[in-house]
Amino acid sequence: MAAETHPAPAGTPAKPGPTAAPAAGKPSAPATGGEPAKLTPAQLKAKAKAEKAARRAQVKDARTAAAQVPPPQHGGGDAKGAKGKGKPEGPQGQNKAAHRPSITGSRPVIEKDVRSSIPDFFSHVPMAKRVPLSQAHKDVHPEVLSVGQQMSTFAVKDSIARLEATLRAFAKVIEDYETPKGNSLSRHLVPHALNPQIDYLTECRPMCFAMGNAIRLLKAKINNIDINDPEDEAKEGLLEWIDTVINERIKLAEFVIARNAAQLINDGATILTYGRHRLVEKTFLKAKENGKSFNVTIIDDPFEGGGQDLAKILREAGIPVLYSPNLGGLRPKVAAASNVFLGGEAIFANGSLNAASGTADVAMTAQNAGVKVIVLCETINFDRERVSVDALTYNEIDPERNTAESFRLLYDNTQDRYIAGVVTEFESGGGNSPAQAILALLRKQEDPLIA
Amino acid sequence: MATDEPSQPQAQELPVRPKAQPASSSYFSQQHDDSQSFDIVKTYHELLFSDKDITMPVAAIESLIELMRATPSSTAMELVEKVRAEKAKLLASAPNPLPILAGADLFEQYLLRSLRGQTEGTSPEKILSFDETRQHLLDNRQLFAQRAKAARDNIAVWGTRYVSDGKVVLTMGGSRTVTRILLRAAADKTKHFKVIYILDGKPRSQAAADELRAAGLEVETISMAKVAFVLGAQKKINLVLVGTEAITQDGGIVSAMGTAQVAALTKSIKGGMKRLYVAAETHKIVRKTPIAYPTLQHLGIKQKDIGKFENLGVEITQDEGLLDEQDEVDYTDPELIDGFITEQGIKMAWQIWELVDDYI
Repeated sequence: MAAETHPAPAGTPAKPGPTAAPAAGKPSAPATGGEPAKLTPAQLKAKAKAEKAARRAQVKDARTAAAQVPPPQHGGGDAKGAKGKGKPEGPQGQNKAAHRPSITGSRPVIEKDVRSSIPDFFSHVPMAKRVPLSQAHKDVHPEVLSVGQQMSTFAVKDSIARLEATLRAFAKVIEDYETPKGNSLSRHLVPHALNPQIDYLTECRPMCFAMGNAIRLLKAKINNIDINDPEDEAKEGLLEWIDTVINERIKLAEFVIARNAAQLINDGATILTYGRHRLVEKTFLKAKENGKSFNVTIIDDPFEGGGQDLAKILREAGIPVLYSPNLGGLRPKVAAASNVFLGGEAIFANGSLNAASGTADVAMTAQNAGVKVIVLCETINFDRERVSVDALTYNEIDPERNTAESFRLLYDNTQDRYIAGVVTEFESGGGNSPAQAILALLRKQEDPLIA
Repeated sequence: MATDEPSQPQAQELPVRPKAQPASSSYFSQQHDDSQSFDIVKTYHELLFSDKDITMPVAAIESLIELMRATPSSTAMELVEKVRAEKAKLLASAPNPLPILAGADLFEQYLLRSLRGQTEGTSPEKILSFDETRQHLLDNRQLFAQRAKAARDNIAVWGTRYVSDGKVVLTMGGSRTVTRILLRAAADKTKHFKVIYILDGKPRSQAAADELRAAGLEVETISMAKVAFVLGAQKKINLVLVGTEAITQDGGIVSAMGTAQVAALTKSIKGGMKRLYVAAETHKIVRKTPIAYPTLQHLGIKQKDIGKFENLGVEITQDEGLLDEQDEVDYTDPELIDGFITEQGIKMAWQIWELVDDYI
């Protein structure tokens, strides 16, 4: 790679053409001598950094390509191999990037590297990517393929919709799965049938926290299956379990949250919300159904525009709506509200909320204006292990708004001190508790889905 | 009937929170023999009236135990149903149900846990049968009150540290816990402090001020209107000490009207170093989080709604079932509270939910 011979400025580490070259395979290529050995340490450091970023992008791109063209060594087909990490590769480190161009010719080339413009500082932030069907791993189930496509195009967008689609697709995978002779379901299903699906989905779009939680639970469930259980029975049990998760953690949770949150709306109240969130929408409709008369102020997410649809739905239901297409004039609108209702993608172990970009602005303004912020969130969205204090640790880049000049992050982080309470389907904590209180309870509780 | 020194294993004891074992004394409780005529609301008020040291949550617990005594039930489920029904009745009778709810929830949790035989640390052979559990609760009714009193003593021990030599304490509301802290601090020969008591027109505030004076403290009394002025002008005030009726899960307090005002002024008036501490037993924690607006209404407190603008200058009849004006309460945000002095030590507002978690 020509650009690599001199320190590459941040932002242009990966050249469009060669990046597509698969990193996998071809251990034979020797280290090319194109590298002049007279770089200063600072230059070397910068170069290594740039290469690291380039390598990350390449490894990612290479995954699909590698899956398509069977690499010389075995194991490329299974999940471990597809990760492109544990594979034997020839020269490691800097040389790896340097010798890549030599193998470009034989591989399909993706014309444009979508991540090329992302600065180094954000190189860890993942982005949804349309994986051509032809490049998907051969083991990916057709059902999962279509879910993956829907996710990468954001046709299936919010965490719970993605969770449900994933679970339903996995149910199909399990239905169609047959344990090969000499293997047991509990040992074989996860690495050989599920992991390729999971990898593919992750590649289409980084997993949301709900998916992560559900998949962790599913794997635990599969691991717990007795080796001697008949396969049909085991599969039946898994399908039943998936149904239970969908019913209890998604459907029932939605009902309970909407019901509980609707009780918090008083006659004559003005509730402010940001963008369009399924639970908030359900809550408003439920409150209206209960005969409450109240107003809604919608501050729309200027990039998503879902608030418009919400406004139409609420108007049709007979709820007076004040609609604002963006965050302009936020403060007086928030100050006039009785409460702010927000939906979220995930809540971390420190109680901070991961939600659509702009949520934090609304929450902070509300706190400042003395208006209490209520977050609606299913417990499947709770991450019990990780904490987040900024918006950069766990985030995604909006693939639609990713140009050379700028790019947009999908989520932001709202710290717990801006949130008065969280309404979840988990009621024995007294209903509406601070996020940390719920987390404490969740941590204490054995997850009923595992056992 | 007399209660003996509790002979049951530690784990079976009633969970009013002080860890210290109070001395058990003999006690003659009034028997409610006639199960049909048992009136929980009446019992509650009798209990509250008969012992001026008893707090509302403890009175609620004791009346529920009286209920168990008065109504023979054969199965655990029947008993739980009965307790729940009577609890609801008691809650409905009070315009401010929070203190009752705190006690009743505590008792219900304990009851459920003991009936399930799941009390922590109980070895299988120590699991009591339904009848034994029931009898145990009846025998130890008085423990709740004793422990609550012990809790107050414990709070006094903790709270005394916060009263500084040469400084002035500002207080209000006639809280028994606060009085106990100040009396204990006054007994300390190394501490010479003064008290400014805000009189809000209630007899108990005046009585508390008198009690402090009788103990030899220098007490100045002011009216509510002077709070801002006094906070600004008296740099020696370093502690504002209040009691409360209930603590909400988020670390806010529902307390006598005026507390929020004093708390807000304590935070906002410049000059000197002032901290607001709330002295309260942990059994006053109620499992509610006030997140919806308007706060008090959503907590189930029935008092006059100023927003209705019903006062048109003419005398109108007061709605039934509302709190008397002198019993009205307000909600103080956790942001305004520097800490809680409980029998379990000093807790920050955000730690309150951890205490709630304790008994779920």
